[in-house]
Amino acid sequence: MEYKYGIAVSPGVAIGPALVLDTEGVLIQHRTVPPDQVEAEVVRLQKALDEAAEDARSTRERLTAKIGPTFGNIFGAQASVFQDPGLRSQVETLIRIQYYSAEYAVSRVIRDFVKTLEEAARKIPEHSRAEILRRSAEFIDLERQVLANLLGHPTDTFTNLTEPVVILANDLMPSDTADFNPRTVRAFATESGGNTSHTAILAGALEIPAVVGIGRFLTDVSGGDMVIVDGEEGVLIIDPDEDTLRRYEDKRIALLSRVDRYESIRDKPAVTNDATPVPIRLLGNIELAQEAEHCLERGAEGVGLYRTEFLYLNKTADPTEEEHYSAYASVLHKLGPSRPVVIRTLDLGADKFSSLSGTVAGEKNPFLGLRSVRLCLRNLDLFKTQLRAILRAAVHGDVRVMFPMISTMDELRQCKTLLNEVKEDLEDAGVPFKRDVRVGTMIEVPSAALLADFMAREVDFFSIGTNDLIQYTLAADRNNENVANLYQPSDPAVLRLIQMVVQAAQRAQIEVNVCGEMSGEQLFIPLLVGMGLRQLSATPRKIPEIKQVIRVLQVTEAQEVARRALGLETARQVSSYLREQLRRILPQAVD
Amino acid sequence: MNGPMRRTVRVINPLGLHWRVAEQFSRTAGRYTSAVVVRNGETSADGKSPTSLILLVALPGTELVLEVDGPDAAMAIDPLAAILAAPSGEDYTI
Repeated sequence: MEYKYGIAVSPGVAIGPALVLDTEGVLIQHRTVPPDQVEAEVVRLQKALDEAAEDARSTRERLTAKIGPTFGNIFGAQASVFQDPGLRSQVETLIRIQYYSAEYAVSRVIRDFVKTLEEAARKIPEHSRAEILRRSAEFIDLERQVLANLLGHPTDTFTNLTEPVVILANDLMPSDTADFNPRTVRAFATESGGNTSHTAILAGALEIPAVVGIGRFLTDVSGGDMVIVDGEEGVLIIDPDEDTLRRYEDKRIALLSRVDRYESIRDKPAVTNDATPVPIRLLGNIELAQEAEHCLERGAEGVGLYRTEFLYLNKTADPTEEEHYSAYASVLHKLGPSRPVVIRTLDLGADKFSSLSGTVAGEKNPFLGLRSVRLCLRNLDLFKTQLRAILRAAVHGDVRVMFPMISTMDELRQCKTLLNEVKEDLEDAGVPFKRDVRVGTMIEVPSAALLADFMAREVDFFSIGTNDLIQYTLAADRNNENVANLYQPSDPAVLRLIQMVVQAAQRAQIEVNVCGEMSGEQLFIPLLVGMGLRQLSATPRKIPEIKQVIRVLQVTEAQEVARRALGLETARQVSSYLREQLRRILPQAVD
Repeated sequence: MNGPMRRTVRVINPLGLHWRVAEQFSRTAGRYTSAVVVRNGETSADGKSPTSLILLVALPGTELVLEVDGPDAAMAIDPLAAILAAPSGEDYTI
């Protein structure tokens, strides 16, 4: 039995047999072979490469006959790579010398090529970069074809799992986690990653227990070993003994019954405990279409934050308008015509993906760099494609569009102008769309909070993104352990900015929402309601907990909590005051 | 023996040394018994291996050094240099 400690990113406990993934996320069950199987492995490799070359050649002939040699020859080049003597000898050497399995050896060699090209791409002028990155993406495509032949089945294994497993990997690509079916993937644990990594957010969204950032452990575990993932404490236990298994089975059942308790308040209204109950609108934060169901299951009144980054990640090409449209439309169909759905436009850091045109690789300070709406305003085609799809999808429901990371009035106005241009284009083209969608801005940069009164004149609503607001206000990255202690939602500077934004919204009579992690914590609910918030948006899983606080809270006492908290000087004082108040208001509160 | 024949060739194809060029070059190089090496600065590629040619990351404007060493070098060097120096090739990648 072995304990491994990491970062808990998605709660719950799961027990099951391990499925170990190769470091690059491809399902490779055996990394090495016994010495006496080396020659058989080389033969297997040659066969797989020959098959891939044969497939490419027959595709070439088919396409040449059908649409001409220009397209056909594309596959001729592919065939030549599969038959490349240089490539073959490199892979064979790894099998013979390192006893690597054919799969692992192919993957290592091709990943090295990809790395070489990506490093080269960083050093060359921007206009040539896309071409070189495309070549590296093509290598990955070639790798997949060979692996598919070697493994004898397509590599998208997650969707084909028949028995429940716990997935262990170095890291997972967001597109991998998106295919996880919670019925068969019970949990996952990874060597790398942090609590704000995209994968961690998705694990939370899919409600799969997860622990990340464990450090090297894959060498200590084999596929099929029994493992426990404790997403509450951030622990992975390999090969647990009987006592431990029993203890965790009990814990697992206890956690499930906590979930059931919350179900009992799902259909009760989210109103305060005042003589005249004040409704607080609770909305869900989502990323994937299937999470729309989680919103409904947990009693959310709509979607307060629909993140769209998912559409862009791990793509070799930017998503098409149709891809955007069908993703949005499927969420809207699940939620119906009258529940609000706030779609946030692309909010990716330039560091998150290399395939997007116009991306600046190797920025020294990506969080202060070309990201989010800044990236969109520099890539107008990309931005307009998304805006067109949002406006078109809006005919199916109550869609609102929201711009992230706005830091100046000019940016906000440019976004609005662009939205109007897109409307004109759609109008001219006779494409059905909804003209009067509400427009909002995220307030997540201190400059935007400070200008909230001006910003309020331009938009129909605000949504305060506390995660970034905290990071930019305190100038601290919470994933950097040396400064993570500075990152505190309860810091008085953060509270003051939130208060300014809420007051600006109230004066301008526009809606204001909080959609950062802060609004998902019971601790902050009395404070936020007391500051005047009547809308909160959180991950669907948190909604019953928030509602539980709201239903026992009185607005007058919340206002008193806010008044007192805003008079405190340090984050520590605010937190301990809020804890004390939560214990008073809701004695059974967790933690 | 005189050692390898050498020729400096400038890539003018707007996509640089792309897959189609690599494929055509390596296929042609494979017809000769001579060893074929292409250098881009410090990096060198086996001329008979299309993947290694791609990894040269030869952009438009790059000066490549072509080295052919063997009994049929004199016959091989012209057609090989011509492929590297071709103005367009076809505009596709794999």
